[in-house]
Amino acid sequence: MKKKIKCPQCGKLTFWEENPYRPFCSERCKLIDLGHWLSEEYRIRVPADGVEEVHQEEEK
Amino acid sequence: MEDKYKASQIKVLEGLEGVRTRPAMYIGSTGPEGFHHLLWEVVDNAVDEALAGFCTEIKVIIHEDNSITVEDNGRGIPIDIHPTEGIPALEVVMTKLHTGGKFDHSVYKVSGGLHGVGVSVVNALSEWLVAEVHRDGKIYRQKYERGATVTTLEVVGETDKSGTIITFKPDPEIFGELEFDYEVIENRLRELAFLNPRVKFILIDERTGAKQEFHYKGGIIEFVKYLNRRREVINKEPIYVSGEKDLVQIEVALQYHTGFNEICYSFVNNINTKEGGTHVIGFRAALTKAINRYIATHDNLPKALKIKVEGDDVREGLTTVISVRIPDPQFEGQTKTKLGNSEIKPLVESVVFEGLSRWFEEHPKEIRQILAKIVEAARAREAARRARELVRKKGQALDVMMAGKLAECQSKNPEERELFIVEGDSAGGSAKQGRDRRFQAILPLRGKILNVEKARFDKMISSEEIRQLVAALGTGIGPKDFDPDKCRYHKIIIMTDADVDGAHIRTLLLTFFYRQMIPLVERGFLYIAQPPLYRIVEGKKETYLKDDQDLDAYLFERAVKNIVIEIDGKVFSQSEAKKFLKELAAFEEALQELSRKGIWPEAAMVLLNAGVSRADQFSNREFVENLASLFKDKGFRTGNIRLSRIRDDAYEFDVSSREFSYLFFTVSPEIPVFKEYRKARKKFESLKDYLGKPIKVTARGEEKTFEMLRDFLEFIREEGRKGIHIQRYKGLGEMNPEQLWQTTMNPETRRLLQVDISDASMADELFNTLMGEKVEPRREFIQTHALEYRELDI
Repeated sequence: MKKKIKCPQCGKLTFWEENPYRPFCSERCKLIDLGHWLSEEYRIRVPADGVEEVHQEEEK
Repeated sequence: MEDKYKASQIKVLEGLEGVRTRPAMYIGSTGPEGFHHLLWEVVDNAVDEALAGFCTEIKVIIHEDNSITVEDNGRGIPIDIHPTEGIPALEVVMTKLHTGGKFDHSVYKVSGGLHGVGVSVVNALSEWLVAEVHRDGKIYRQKYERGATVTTLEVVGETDKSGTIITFKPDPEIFGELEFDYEVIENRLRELAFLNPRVKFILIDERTGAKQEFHYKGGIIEFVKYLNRRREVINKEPIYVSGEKDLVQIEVALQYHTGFNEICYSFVNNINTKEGGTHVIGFRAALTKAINRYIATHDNLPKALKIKVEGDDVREGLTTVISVRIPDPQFEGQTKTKLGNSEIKPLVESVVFEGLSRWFEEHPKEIRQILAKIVEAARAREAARRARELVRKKGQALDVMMAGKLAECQSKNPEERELFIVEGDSAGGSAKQGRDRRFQAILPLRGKILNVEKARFDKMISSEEIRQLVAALGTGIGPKDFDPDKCRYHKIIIMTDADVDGAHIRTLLLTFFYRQMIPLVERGFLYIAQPPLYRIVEGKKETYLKDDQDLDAYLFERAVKNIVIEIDGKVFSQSEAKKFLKELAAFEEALQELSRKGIWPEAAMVLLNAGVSRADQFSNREFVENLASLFKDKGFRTGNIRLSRIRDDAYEFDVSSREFSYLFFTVSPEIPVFKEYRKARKKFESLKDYLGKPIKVTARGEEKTFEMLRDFLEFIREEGRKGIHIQRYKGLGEMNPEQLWQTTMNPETRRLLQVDISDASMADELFNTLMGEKVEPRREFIQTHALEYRELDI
């Protein structure tokens, strides 16, 4: 049986095998995910005391 | 308008010569398309009669001998003598080229027909044709062969009906063995039925006995539903807009579905304009304008929906049927199926814009669903643009090297090349000095921290760093452009600190590889470096230890040399003691892991002592009640017993700590299934004989007794620490280049953890948890601990 996975973008169930967009369900979802990375929307919240040094948006 | 359809209204343009010698000029080809074109010509004449309002039923019958009949209940083609030709109008229509009522708009306001070639072309290309007209109480019949009249117009009977019946057999001399294709006819008749809701179409195939009726009172609304019948739709009822302006009738129906492709069927006077044209352009302009206007003028929309969208976005996943009826269609394009009339665009645009805007106002719920879909499309387009830009602008490894970021290695062979992705600039510096530059490349990456709000910080990998990573790898990025074969390194090693920060970066990187570069993981290219956590100095001897477990083993080994353990009268030998301590530490570790699931050790002990081991125990209410009272006895607060939310026919209840209100969890059939619980239970079983009993320890002649496991283990560790110096590395930066090389980078001595898909997908899961917008206190508690756990585990 084909392994079923949940698309990290839209949450729809999809297949792993023979799926060129794995772990996503579609080219669309994979692309949207890439867009999130490139626009720096994927962030992990860290507690203030764990931060030693803050780089403000210096590159911009 | 004069509504008497008489011979005087049929205009004669030319003779019929040449049709048989050059059939393709008139019907496009002598292949299957041209062959069926004959039928369409006749059917369209019947539909024109319907459009004029005189016909409600059209029947097509395919006969055994490859002839075909088209029957309508219209007025019947006029049979009176044509004023200039001197023969019956029917005969003029059948035998003279370019004749018909359609050239005079007073007869048909709009007309289909295939560019007016006329039924005479059908006659010319038929082996035989019989025309029967029911009109004025009489049945008239005339026969033709290859375009020529073979009988005069005869009265063959009486009738109380009206209509025209044309039966013809396409000439095998022209078309060879071609036959009528049921499916092709079925599809066209269905299409016509959608476009002409007042007309019933009947298709009968005498060759097979097949019979179908097409009658769609909902018109193009039903057409759209039919086209979307196997799709998941967004607006349940198609949007319908209609209007008439300057003798042009416009009808549009549209419905969004969850797919991505655009389906657009457009028609001009029932002709399928496959190449589109001015009516389609007008519709598209109106749709984009109406959507953008709606977004711009509605302030109550969620912020995420307030973006400017483009035509491609609004048409993604859209099924549309456009039908216009116009007096003088001009067709262009290769197959003459593109509408060229420039005046149609503004007409369609204004009617559709008004209609759509009204519909949007009246359907606020549906329009939001549609907008969400459109905005998603816009985002994907934006993402694709960013991805293209990323690769385009200085997308080469050389540029990253030039920027002083990537320290490249000398080897050119990807199989032996290694890329270390090193967290932090200082560690990057040590790695650059410590590496073997022949085959090890270094890419420092520090992530980016933003102060989002007071006391709230977000950590991320900057897009610049992603660009550098992609460029260094050489693989490209994005669903279309990523190519794992181009990967310049066959070992990609993530080297991060063993602290929370390192865990964040590692989680982000693993998630990125999992989502956007999974083939590299599948090929086994991705690794995690295992820098030691401890450095032990004992006299002149130096030892590096990977993690707490190794440290425990080291400390126990030293401790048992000097102590004697006794439980319940049993005295442990050195090797028994070592084994016992190892098991005990593993049990402690298992309890700690369980506490990251929200079940803290004291509570876990209640479950273990009660023998909770299977999910089906929770189907027994008595068992669950007993369990609840055990918790109460141990001083916990318990909630009411209720039906389980995760397993039918099972019970569960909540337990909370009296001391710390944020500590609570549900005692449910889920618990025995947790792998953390199963692990704890296994260790619990193997230690059962000793747990809960006092442990007597003799060290250097001194005797001590321990009731609590924790205190006992702490004492043993303390023993083991005597006489050595332990350094705990907080970061890679604390190691000098030589140490880093020796412990972590040297292929001879290092240990690398190869990442497989399950590791990467676990990181993805963790990432999702960490990304969660609303973090409840309990989850926060678990997460903080989860991080400590990950920091040692990955």
